[in-house]
Amino acid sequence: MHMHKLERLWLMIGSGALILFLMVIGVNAFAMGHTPPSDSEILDPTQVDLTAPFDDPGLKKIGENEYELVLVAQAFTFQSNDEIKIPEGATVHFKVTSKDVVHGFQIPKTNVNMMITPGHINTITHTFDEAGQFLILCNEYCGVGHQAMGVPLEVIK
Amino acid sequence: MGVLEEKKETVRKVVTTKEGPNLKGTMIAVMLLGGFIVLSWFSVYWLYMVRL
Ligand SMILES: [Cu+2]
Repeated sequence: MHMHKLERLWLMIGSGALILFLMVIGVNAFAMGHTPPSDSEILDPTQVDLTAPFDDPGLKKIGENEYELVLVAQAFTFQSNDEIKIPEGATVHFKVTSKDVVHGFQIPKTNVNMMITPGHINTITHTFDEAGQFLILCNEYCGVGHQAMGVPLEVIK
Repeated sequence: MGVLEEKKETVRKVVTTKEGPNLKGTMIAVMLLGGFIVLSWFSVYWLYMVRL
């Protein structure tokens, strides 16, 4: 079959990009262990208050400058028994579930951005290198009080 | 008769020409668009890295 040389070049670039992207996804998933924020851990969304660790949501120190922040999303707040104050430079593992509908979970100026799906344990990790005021907010319309759904997160020196 | 045959010959020549189309402009336009897309990927990657 006759093919114009520029058409051939164009097809080679396209195929090359496809192969490259599939390799990037493969290395990401299998070699680096990257997964979507909502993993396969599930729980009964009607029993959240009785299911650990969501029976006591809040900030827990789990290592040297390493914390686990357990939150329960519910229209229209994120429940925590502790004030969310994190030391500068700490790595925080967020563990969030929802009691009712799908909520959003975003901290502007960071890469923390995930969906909170009821029945799932949604996890994401972030290291706060700079002190300051942050806001955890819901970015998924969840009802009439959606615009008020946010809690402060403070990173202290 | 002779003139008519010559004309037919000319027409046939034009139809069976194997010269390909000129795709230089197409290639340039497509590469410009591709460059823009690649640039936007790197911008998103940069945004991800500064927010890390
Ligand atoms: Cu909302």
